[in-house]
Amino acid sequence: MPKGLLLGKNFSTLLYIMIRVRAYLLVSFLLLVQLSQAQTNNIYVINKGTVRFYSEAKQELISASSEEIKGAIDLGKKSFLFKIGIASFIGFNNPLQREHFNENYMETDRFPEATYSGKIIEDVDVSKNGEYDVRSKGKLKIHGIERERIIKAHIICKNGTIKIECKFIVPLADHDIKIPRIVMDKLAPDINVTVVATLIPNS
Amino acid sequence: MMRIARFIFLLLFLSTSLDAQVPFSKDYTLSESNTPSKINAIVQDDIGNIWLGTDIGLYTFNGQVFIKISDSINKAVTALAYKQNRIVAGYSNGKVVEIVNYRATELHISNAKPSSSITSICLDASGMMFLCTEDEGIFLVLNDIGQNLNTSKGLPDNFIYKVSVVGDKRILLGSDNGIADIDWANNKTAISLSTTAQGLPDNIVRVIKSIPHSSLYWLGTQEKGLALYNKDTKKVWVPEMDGQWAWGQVNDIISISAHHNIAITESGYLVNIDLKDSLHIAAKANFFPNKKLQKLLLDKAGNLWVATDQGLTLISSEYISYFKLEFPYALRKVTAIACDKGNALWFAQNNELYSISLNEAGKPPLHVYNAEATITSLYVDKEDRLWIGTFGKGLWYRTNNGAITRAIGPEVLKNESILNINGTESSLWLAGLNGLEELSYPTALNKQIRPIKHYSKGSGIGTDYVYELYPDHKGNIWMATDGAGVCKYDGKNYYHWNFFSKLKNEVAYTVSEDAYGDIWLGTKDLYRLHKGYWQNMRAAEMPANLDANISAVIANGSGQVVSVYQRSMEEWYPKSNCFRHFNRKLGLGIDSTPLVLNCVTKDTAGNIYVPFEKGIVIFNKQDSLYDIRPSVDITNSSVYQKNITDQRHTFPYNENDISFHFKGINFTNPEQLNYRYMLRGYKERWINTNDESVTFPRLPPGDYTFIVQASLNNDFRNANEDTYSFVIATPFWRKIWFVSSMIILLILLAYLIIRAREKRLKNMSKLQEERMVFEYEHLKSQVNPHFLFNSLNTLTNLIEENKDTAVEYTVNLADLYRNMLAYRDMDLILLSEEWEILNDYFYIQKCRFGDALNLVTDIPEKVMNSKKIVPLALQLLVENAIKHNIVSNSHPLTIWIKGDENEISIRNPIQEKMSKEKSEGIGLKNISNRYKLLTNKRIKFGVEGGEFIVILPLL
Repeated sequence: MPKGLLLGKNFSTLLYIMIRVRAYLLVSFLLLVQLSQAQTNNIYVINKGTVRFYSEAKQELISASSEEIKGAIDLGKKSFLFKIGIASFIGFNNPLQREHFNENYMETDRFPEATYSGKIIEDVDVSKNGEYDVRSKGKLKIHGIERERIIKAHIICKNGTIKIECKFIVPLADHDIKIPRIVMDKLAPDINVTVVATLIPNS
Repeated sequence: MMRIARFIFLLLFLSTSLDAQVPFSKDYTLSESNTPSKINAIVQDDIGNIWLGTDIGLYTFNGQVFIKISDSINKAVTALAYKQNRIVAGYSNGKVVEIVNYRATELHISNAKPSSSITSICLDASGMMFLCTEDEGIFLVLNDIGQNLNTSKGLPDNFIYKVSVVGDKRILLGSDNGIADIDWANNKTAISLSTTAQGLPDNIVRVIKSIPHSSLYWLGTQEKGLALYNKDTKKVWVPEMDGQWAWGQVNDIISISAHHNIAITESGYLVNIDLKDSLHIAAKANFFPNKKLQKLLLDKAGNLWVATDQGLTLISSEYISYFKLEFPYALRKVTAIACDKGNALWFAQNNELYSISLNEAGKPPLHVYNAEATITSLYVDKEDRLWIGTFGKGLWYRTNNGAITRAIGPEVLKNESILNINGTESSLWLAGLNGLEELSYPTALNKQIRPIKHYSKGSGIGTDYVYELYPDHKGNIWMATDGAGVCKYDGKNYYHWNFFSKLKNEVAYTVSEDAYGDIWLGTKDLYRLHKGYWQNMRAAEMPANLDANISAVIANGSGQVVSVYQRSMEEWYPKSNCFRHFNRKLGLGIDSTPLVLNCVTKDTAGNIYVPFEKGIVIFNKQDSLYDIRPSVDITNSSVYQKNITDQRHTFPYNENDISFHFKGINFTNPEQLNYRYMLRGYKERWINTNDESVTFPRLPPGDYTFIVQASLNNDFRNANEDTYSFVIATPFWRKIWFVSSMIILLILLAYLIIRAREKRLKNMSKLQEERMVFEYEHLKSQVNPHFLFNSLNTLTNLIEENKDTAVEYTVNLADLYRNMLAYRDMDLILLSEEWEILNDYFYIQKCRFGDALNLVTDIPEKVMNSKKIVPLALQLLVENAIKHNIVSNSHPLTIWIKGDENEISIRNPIQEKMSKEKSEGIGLKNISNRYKLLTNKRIKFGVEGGEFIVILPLL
């Protein structure tokens, strides 16, 4: 059965669908300040990126994405910051779902952004074309709650640009996002997030 | 499709890396509502309390209840440390508390203190505290003064997971960027770093644990498993193992010995690691689905405690585990079991013989053979042959090439009903319904079995029914018989002990020998032959634990003895002198039906195997000496229900209603805890109780010691205890100094009273004497012939001149004498009474002298009736004045008497007679003496301005 149909049938219960999103990064104010002083060729900023999340629950699959991820990596310091506006996620099964996502679950007006900042554990040499699996470690802040996380990323360096691909899980409970019992079957307790972003040297 | 393929791969993978032996486990949640709470840290103190640092605060656990320790911080407790009676907890906001007497007090660290989450704490022997933090490196705190080490001082990273004290002034840190070996022994800090460049498999090192009796440390990493570090050479390397580390992020490790290490992971694995040599490890894992295993603790009784993101999990693998038969396979009725030298387990369910390999998980038992009759006994001999005894169809055996054949030998073997088989070096022993057969082993050349000797009721066993045979290490054959109790045969003679015949039951079911050479015997009870005496080992057990139907008893390789009953099992801990009970109450899921819990066997290593419904229970040989005894802690004491919050041990006499609250700590069979206590100094008698508090009302002053002991049965001989000594002070009035000074005071008082009384008596007698002298003198003076002559002369004149006046005169004279007689023996009389006497007297004298004698008086009326005076004093003084002075018309004498509140004065001008009347001179002296005896006021007299004055005090 196509998902849309299911949605249509249970329109009222669907209201509860929520999603949570996970976050993605972006240029921190701090990094921007450092930018002006640092060697610019060590700083890479996101040129283009997509953050997608999906919740795979018994009765329903919900997914949404946003291209408004911002962020930067300082390879000299091996640090990074990414952020994304929660309100920018689109692609829900219906508009009401998106409204619930923003109002009931993510409380977007109180916590408009998700951020992830920290450090990169492994070394990456961007001067050569190649692929790396690295771990990032830092604080993932969603719904105002910060969690220390280690998130693996696949990095592809090509001609001076960096492409990052990563996939991780956000347990809703970790970020104090409460699911009403009535939508338990429609919303997974663990949300899958994928991030794909291309970074270029900051000019 | 991909998913299915991955699933199949995972299954294949798991089947090889998972341990075939599964521990029993039990989950605990901190609250009664079973809400999961993440536990971040766990330690055990010396008394035995388990301390838990959780997202919802600090808890202590004694085996029965979780008690929250309130603190002022209200943040997640992220780290705990215990050393030398010091418990320290670290919080997610960088605060640190110390727990004393179940109360948390914040430590105020000066100089440098953390403000980010504490990841771990370590205390060293010198009292130094090391605090690892998430963002600020490490803090070294001594005497509450902190010092910070971070990347600016040379640390590889500011996120520190773990610190381990390597030696005096030397620590090892695990961080996000490798390990740092820090040494500041020579007053300068030397930091040696190791990262992937030095051979570390992964730069994120979350765990560092020392391996006992070696220079090696385990390093647990985030994604590459384990590595080793040698503190002497400062080298890091990865030991080889079969396959790759597949169990995820290492969260904790404990190292009991090089061959016995346990690691736990975020992905839910508990990995048993054997460090074969420093370059090779073997690992086997148990999986706990849906749990993130955070921290690990091995308590003193051998329980493994795992702190998880859901709560607390007890894992039994140090003493008991099981070989799990895959669902839906379940054992129905096990009639015999034996373990061969290759660790294959053979067991029979009626006629059917099965085998399972203990090294392979997840396989159902292999059906090997279908016997012609019920298999009643299995035995593996020294050459690894499996002997099979049947009921009615004789003896069979399986050679190591796998063939099962009937034993060839005496006719009796063909149809014998065999009850038990056992063997010695040279002989095979068979117990059947016709007594005991001693047989030769078959050899490769001669399969024929030769009878050596037949033993029966007649030859000395006392019965033909022997249920179990046991050859002990001295070569004696022990027999558990039906009808003759236990019987020992030493090669020549039979020995019997029918010590339990008083129970009218001469059946013994099972007999075995423990690691100390003591014989154990199962009847309706469990007996041990120790130093020549049989003891009933269950005599002190709680009635609720007694399961009368013993089916087997056997000892493992480390001295514990396992007895199997129809519905439960017990394991005797000789050092602790008590049983660990495995029954339904334990909640581990061991319970089984009597048909299965029926027999036991032991492998060559000394592990014991008991079939139960879900598989085979394995009682491990225990490397460490675990102590399962409960301990007890006096948690608080109170006076009149008010807790004693200070460390007071002396109470005033009126604070003598003292209560003690104590708790037992036991994780083995906490439901069986019971106590006994004694208040030494009050009653030297133990009192048994199940309560956890006791009150002693109205204790008399004295020195006391409260002793409480805890036990899991009624035997307290080897019990742990806690004591509290205190003093009820003697009230000051019962102190020696007070009593003695009181006695002295009393004696003194009595002495003074007596002396005063004596003095008073003396005074009285003196007064008496004085008065008598006075009376005498006075009477004498009043009957003095002069006075009489003068008075009578005057009377004669009066009679002639005036009859009426004469009558009055006579009346006055009579009054005078009467009053003098009336008052003479009084000490004091009213002034008015004295005044009357004086008036009578003066009237008489006035009649004689006429105008030549005058009396001028001035005494207020009030004084007259309120003041007292010595009797006859005034009369005497007036008499003296008349006596000693000229009274004539030419020289009239005027006497002035004047009085006020206090005194009275008598004055007269001095007109001395030429010839004095004879006088005893006692008048004034006598008055003066009488005043002295009556009062301390003194009379005054003397000459002033030509007048003689006497002043008498009024009383």
